[in-house]
Amino acid sequence: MSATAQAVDTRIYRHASGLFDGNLTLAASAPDQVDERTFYAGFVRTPRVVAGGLLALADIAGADFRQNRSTTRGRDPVVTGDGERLRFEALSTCGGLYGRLDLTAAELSDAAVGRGTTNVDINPPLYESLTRVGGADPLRMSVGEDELAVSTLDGKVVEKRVPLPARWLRGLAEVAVHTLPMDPRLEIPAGPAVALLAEVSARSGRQARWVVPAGSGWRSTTRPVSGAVCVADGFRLAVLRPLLPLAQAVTLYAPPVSGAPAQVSGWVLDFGTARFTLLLSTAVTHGFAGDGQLLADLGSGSADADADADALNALLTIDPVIDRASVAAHTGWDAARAASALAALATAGQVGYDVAEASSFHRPLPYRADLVAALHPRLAAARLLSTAGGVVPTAAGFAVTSGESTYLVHRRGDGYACTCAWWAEHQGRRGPCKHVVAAIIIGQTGQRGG
Amino acid sequence: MDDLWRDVCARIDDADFDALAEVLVGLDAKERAALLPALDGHTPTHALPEPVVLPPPEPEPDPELPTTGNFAYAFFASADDGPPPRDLEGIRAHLGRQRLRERERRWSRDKWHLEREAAHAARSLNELRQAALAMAVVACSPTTADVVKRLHRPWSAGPSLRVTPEVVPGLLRVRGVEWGAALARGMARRAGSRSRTTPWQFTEALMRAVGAGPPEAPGAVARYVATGRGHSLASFLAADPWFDHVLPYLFDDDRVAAASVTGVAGRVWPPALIELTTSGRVDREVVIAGCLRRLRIGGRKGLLQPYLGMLKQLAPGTDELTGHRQELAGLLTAPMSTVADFAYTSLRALHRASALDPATLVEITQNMLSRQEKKLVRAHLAWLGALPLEHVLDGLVVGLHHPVPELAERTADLVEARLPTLSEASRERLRAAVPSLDGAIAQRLAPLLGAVAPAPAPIRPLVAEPPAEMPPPLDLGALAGELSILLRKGNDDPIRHELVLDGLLRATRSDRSAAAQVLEPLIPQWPGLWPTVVAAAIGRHQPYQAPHRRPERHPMTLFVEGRVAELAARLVSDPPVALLATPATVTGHVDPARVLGLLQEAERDGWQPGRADLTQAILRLPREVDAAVRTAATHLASPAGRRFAGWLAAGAEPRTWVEEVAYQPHFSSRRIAMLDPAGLPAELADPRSAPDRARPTWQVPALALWPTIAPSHREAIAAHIQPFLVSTVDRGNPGSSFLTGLAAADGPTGPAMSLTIAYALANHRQPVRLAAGDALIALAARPDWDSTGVGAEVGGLAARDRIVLQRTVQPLAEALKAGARHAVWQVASAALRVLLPAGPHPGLADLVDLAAGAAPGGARSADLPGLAALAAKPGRGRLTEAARRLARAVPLPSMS
Repeated sequence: MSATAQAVDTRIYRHASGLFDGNLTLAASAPDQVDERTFYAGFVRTPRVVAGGLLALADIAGADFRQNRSTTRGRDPVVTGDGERLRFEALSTCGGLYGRLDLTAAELSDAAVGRGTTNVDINPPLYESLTRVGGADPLRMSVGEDELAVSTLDGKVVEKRVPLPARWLRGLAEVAVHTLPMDPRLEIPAGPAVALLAEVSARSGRQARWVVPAGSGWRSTTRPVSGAVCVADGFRLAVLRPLLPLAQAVTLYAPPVSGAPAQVSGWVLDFGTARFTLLLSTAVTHGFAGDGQLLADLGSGSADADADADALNALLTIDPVIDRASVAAHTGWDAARAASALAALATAGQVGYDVAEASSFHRPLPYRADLVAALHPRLAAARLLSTAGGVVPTAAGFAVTSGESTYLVHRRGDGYACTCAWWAEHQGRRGPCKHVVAAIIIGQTGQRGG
Repeated sequence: MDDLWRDVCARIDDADFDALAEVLVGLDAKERAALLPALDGHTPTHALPEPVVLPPPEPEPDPELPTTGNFAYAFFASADDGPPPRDLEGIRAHLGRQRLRERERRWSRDKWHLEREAAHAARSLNELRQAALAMAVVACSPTTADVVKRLHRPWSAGPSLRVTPEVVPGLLRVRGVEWGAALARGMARRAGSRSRTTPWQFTEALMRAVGAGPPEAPGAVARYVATGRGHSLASFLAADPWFDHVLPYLFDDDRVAAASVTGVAGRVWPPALIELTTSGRVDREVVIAGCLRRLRIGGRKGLLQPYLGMLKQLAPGTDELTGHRQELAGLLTAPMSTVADFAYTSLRALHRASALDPATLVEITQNMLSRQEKKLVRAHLAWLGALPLEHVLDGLVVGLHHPVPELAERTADLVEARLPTLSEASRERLRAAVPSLDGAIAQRLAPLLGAVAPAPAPIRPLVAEPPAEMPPPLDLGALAGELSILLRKGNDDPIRHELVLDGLLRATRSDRSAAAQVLEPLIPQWPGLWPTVVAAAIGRHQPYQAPHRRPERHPMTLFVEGRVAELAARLVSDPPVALLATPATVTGHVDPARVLGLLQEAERDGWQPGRADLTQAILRLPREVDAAVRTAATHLASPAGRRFAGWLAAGAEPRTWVEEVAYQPHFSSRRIAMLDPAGLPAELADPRSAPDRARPTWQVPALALWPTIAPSHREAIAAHIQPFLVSTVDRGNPGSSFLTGLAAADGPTGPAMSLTIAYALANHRQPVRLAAGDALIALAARPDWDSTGVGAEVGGLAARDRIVLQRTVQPLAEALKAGARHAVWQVASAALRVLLPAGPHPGLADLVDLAAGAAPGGARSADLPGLAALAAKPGRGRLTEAARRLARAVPLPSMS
């Protein structure tokens, strides 16, 4: 890991993003160079929503809710164009909050939308200008190269050099996996949604609680009953407050209730022509990066899944938005095979998932591919354990020796569990521990060998 | 070399930077590098304070006393003086002693001061010597990177080098400005690191000396801001060329903002900024825009408060705020009510100066009516009363959804009053909003708008679900997993507790060597009951003694531990075939047929079940036992079998009651549930008196395990748990999972359960309150449950200010939404019967509102004394309005 931790990610923008005379110019950058593509240049229908959404993204990118805040700053949002929509994505500095602003064709009907993914520069003066955008002001937005922008802005190149965000990249990959099994649970009009948000985002909301549909509204409970949505450390949702008065409806998404004390939840604000999706992790201290939902699949490292992923990637380059049904239609795979290929692509930072449309979208993260594929620390440790010969199959499971301690990896339901302290703390809710992954690796190779 | 080294050491000891630089500048790089190892290991001579020598106090001549006339003299008695003087000679001697003492005191005081000055001088000299040493090290280091590393080295790598601003000129003389500039860049880059305090003042002096620009990195700017600047920060900043560069960081960067409002900097920076603004050094517009930007970016309350304070002090006029209209509208959703209040007041002022455009007015209305602060919402509704509503309807609809009924009603009042002035399009907009509105508001507005009020959403009737079955027994691997969780995270899950006990017994009885291999590594080093029982399972005797120093062990804790200890004792040599008390359901009930079968087997095979295990099994029998089991039990002959049969035949109910415990030095007066186990096993009893039970304990035991001790006698367990809920109602954490267990348990309702739920509803921790609401929902689904007792306790406790009434409202409202309407009405009406006659009380209006929402069709206000009088009061107070709503829901006698 040390090699990747030292790696530096350099962003070069031809000029700083800015907003002058109703022209919002978002500068784009590819790794180590200026991105010369034009993603969009034209007017937007609801300037207040676009400005508010970008502000919320900037808030999320800069937010760090942990007690011990890190010194690294938030990352610039990633923007993806699929020929029809523009999607702006950001992950909070603490890694537990993910936001995405989707501008649909109805919002951008003015001009063509490019294809591809890039970083956009957000800076304090732009932030201030965005807070001044009113509902009645017309707004022309350009993402990427724009002749008008060159004429109005000074040409000072902006260069940002930051350590390569391994955690951030893993977090974005985990987000796609978290959203895959999510279903809509509760749809509420904006009026009552304000009350819901005020209730769950109060400063006292430093616990996991569950929101269940009741009558025409909802009720709060402490029990993970079926149909409930978990709101963990809900005070983080306060970043949505400025956006809520603009929304027409709010929909809450959640994965099937598993009985775990906290689960991820999705909040989708619908503005008619745009959508804002927010994903809330299971706790302030639980960033998406550490969730390790992908580890079991990664550990198995099946060659078939990799081949499937490559095939699917080729498909996605042609048609950037696909749902699972269309994957099946194009490839003839069953649902499980399609899901595992999608998961493999998500891990590599190649796809995102739009929960409101229940479809995946092609989003090759604008980072150097070799660095994106850097090992998950837990997976690296597991590979070390499995090669060191510390994993011994026994009658009760696998005895895994790590340092001076020996742990027992055993079956639990469909998966594995361990006797280590990390497992006792999280009980599988943040993915398998390194001992379990090591046992899976040994189990697979053992089976193949036999 | 020796001469040079002695020379360098001498100049370090002289703390003469110029002279030291003079020596070093004459050396080439190689010579300097050769000095470095010696310098690294060198410690300057430690200067000791100069000894202070004062001449001893000289004796003074005796004072002349007047020999004629009268004189008065006051004695200051001292322990050394002996008896008071009786003649002139005695007085003279006494005065002499007093003067001597005074002189001695003065002498030692002077000496102390001189010593202190000497110590200070020595300390300063030592610091200067350290600085000189640091200067020599830095000057002799080969590269700037090496210097930066040395100046930031961890404690473990050696004592820190104390570079000061004074060494900068000498350093530049030795190594040149270019080298200094490179060092300044390197130092500035490390300035923000949090792991270690960096010598910022040196860095700053260096940067200024080499003419480097102001710091760029936020961490370095934060250090600049946090550095003390003598008496007048404002005059320093006014003259500082860096200040203009630093200014935007104060508003835009979290770290710099935090540095400028916390600690010493927090006391001087905001006033200095104001001073600079007043003097014209800083543009007012820059500070106003910056403060607004910081308020929008947000942060902790303590971080934002100074910025809001600055903004208020600057008191921007409407001309200055016109450009910030949209930012102010955005600030109306700020988490801090004071920020929203400032923004609102400013927007009102702007509107007075020149009318705001409709889009902004809509946004203001949306943002204001979605706030939770009643004061702000009322203020805006009052303002709307004077504005045309036509263009702000989109915002007004938000107010109709307000969760506080009073504010939703006030919005509806406004709509109703202005309905005739609205256009048809606006009416249509309102009509479209009706279906999603809350019941009362929809009922009120629907006829006015010619719409149909939505039928109340069907709420599923509450159904008591049968308790789930226990998970299957653990195999060896799963046992290790669960045991590891239990040992590491504590024993707070009754299901895991039972599964592990059962699993240990199974592991013992199947393959002990396999069990030993798996369980051995899990046995922790600490002494305790669990290590003992795990060791016993693998055949190792490991004695365990309960700790002596813990004075009070609760009977229930003793009971739980007793059963584990009994198993530990038997596992080594005489493991039983199975545990009788292993439950069949997650509630804790055993399967009577299984217990019977095991007892029959024990008689046949000649083994004895453990006494504690049998007691626990008996306590876990369901209330309904199959007749066949009862009959078969009568044929049992062993003592255990006869005990089981006897219990099935007789049965018993515990007796519970509530005692008042008056105020005591350690706690306020409170109500405590008491228990007489009557015919139940004596282990359930708590022989202590009510005041002893009421005394708060240092640590709350694992209450979650208790409901499964007697799942058929909920009252008995509630009586044990309730004293802990009293002592944690305003502090501490009782946990909440025991409430789930109590609600799932069986048995008649009684005073202990009512009191437990009442205190849990008012707990200071929201999760406990919500869990109490959930318990009430589960209990309401049971046919034999009656919540009236809970309501009476809530009313009584709130009336005497023992609980915060307001806290109980939210969990009750959640229960109401879940469909526990009857139970909530029982609680609310019983509480109101106590509270309404007593007059206004904090939170009462909310409870009355809740009761109005829960009132069943057949209720009559005659059941609620004081309601009619309250509803008839003039005025529009919150309580009166709520009382009127309740009176409408429950017809008054005169109206019926």
